Amino acid sequence: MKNHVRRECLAALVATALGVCAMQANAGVDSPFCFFPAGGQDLSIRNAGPYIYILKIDDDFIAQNPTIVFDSVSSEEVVYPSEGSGCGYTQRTERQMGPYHAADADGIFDYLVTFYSFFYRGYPPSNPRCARTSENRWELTNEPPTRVDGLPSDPVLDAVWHGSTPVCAARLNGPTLGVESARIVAGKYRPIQIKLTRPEHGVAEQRVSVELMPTGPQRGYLTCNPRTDSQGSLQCGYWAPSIPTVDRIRAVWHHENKDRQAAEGTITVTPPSVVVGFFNGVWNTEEQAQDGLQAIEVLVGPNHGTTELRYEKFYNQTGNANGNTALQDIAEVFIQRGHELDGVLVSRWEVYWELLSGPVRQEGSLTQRLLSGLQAGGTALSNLIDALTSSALAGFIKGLAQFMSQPPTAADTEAPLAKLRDLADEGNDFVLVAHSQGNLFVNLAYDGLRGYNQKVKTAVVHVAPASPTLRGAHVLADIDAVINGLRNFGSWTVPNINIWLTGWGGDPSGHTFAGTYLDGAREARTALNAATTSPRAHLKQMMIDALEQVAPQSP
Amino acid sequence: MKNMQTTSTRSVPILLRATGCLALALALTLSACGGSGGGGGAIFGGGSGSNAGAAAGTGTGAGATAPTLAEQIAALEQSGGYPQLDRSADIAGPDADGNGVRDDVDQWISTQPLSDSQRKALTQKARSLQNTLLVSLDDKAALQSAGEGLAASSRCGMLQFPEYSDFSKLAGKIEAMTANTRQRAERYMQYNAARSGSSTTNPRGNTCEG
Repeated sequence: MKNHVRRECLAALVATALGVCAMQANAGVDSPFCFFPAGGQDLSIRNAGPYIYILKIDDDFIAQNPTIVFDSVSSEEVVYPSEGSGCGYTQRTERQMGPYHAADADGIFDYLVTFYSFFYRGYPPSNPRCARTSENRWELTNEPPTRVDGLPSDPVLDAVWHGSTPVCAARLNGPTLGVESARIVAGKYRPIQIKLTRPEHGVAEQRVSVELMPTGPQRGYLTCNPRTDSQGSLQCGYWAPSIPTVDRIRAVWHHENKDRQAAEGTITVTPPSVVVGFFNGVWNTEEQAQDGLQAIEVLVGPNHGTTELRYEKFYNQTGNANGNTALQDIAEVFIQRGHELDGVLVSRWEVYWELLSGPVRQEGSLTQRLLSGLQAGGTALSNLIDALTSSALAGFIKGLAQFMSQPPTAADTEAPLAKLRDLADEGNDFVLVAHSQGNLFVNLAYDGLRGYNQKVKTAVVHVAPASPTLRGAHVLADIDAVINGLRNFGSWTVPNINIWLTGWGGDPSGHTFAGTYLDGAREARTALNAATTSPRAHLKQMMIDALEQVAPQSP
Repeated sequence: MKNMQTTSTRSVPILLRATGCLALALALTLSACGGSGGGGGAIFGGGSGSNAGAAAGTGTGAGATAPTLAEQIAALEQSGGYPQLDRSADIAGPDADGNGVRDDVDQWISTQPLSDSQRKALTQKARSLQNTLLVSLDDKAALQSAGEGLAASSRCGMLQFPEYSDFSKLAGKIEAMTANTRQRAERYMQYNAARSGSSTTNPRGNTCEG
């Protein structure tokens, strides 16, 4: 009898462990899960003492769970048989053993485990009110339990002997399932990836089930491959409904009934939109590029008819092959010549930035305020600033010519192209605006987008293009000293002049985006007998034309 | 002064347009002038270039008591005719009130004839520009955040100024004043180089701080 009680205790412990596992199997990545090695293949017993076993887990599982840690949750249950009334009771004590880390190279877990398989309640069977069927998840591989003297046989030892052993394990950082939230324009299709990854790479050929849970009156349509690819990605496609909404995606990874993990993400379905991307001009700072994009937003507005416009800045300098040598040349000249006239400029780099960005001769600029406040010597300083302006202009031309001879490479456009692809995946169409050297980048971006997805509509507006080839309409002013200066610099060809401006305004280069091409105060003509316009009005019309190409509003 | 301005603004483009080889000549001159400064900053050469011409520049012909150019500029700064900027070697410069804007730039903003909300928009722009000098160049997330700060402050300016071009001109001055020393200019160039290849979405809604 004592032995039987002991066996029942053993049974109760495993049952407890099973119960714990069953509860925790639905939890997240760091939660314990159940591990059920089957039929002696996954589990081999090195030492079959009553309570001490050394387990070996199959190598594949270990390979996918390199940092697995095993816990054993054990409990002791002492059964007190009924006396007279026919109903006994149970006293249970639980204890935790482990965790035991999979530290050795052979996948051997030196694993002290005290486990039990069955627990039975209910004594004696003559009292049906107390009779309970035992909870038995033990996988016996030979004979089933038999009853002896009203009590079960010893299924524990049988089962253990045949190596079917449930244990609990806690995974610390095994594969992680991730569903990235995504945006998609209404009525469009986009690919969606669900990733099953370990810290360094994905887990291939895993079955992941995916469910779409709509939250609005209309839902999208989702299809997914049944298994992850060689990179651990589950490839899915989502067709958005025709109205904005939010859909939720729930993905569940089942690992051979051993592990289960779920992840959720959302798909936000947005109204139709066009991305207006801006590629900045020669040696703009990021702030100047931002200013250019903001000016475009002011010019065009937040919408084109019913289409939302999203403004994106693609900031570039002169490419990896060129570094900033030409810009440094200009700075060097500023430093050297700044020592002239008692060195009054060498400590005033604000003048340098105005030289570079164009407003050095603009009414109200810092430089103009400096000059206007001087009496004697003012002319000499003015002449010095003129000389520096000439040097800067020459530097622009020289640098651009050098840049055109060593144009940006795929590596230079890798990051912006990746962003454009993401935006294309969201279902956006594009109007790309480029100024000066930005035209060299925009050509690569346009070609890259076309190569990626030909269904994406893209129009390009080239402003003062420092590029021999174009992908859309362009505007080049007759007074643009930088681009027209390129004609005299080697054999580079630039597009034809197609707008003639009256006067110089405050931009001595005739080249800056805001100072010349967004100038609304100057008259301009696009042909000899054409009606007068302004550079700003002309550029606005070009933008509207481009938007009509990709998101027509006119009937 | 107006005559001088007119002459200056016309002269350079006309020269560039009129003579086909002048751009080349200027560029060659630039090449000859630049890059020979020797060691020094990480971006620029030594900066110990020739002082030739200094004497000619300072000559006033007004007698021994005539103020030098430097003295005139100092007086101009004292009188408020030109912003009195911190020109210390410290990249951050003084920020006594800890608002993320150099005190001298704060002072300049406070003198502008603008509404409170417009001054706040300019202060936000100044803060975002100052941040570009201080952000870690090794921290991509912080760099992106700095770029987004520039975008947010530009939008705020658009919301607060009836004409964006008015804000743009003032913001351009703040940019120039922020990177107003060799050390700050060099750091600013490094920031911009680090941002090359980046993309930033213009924010929506009210992006004005505080």
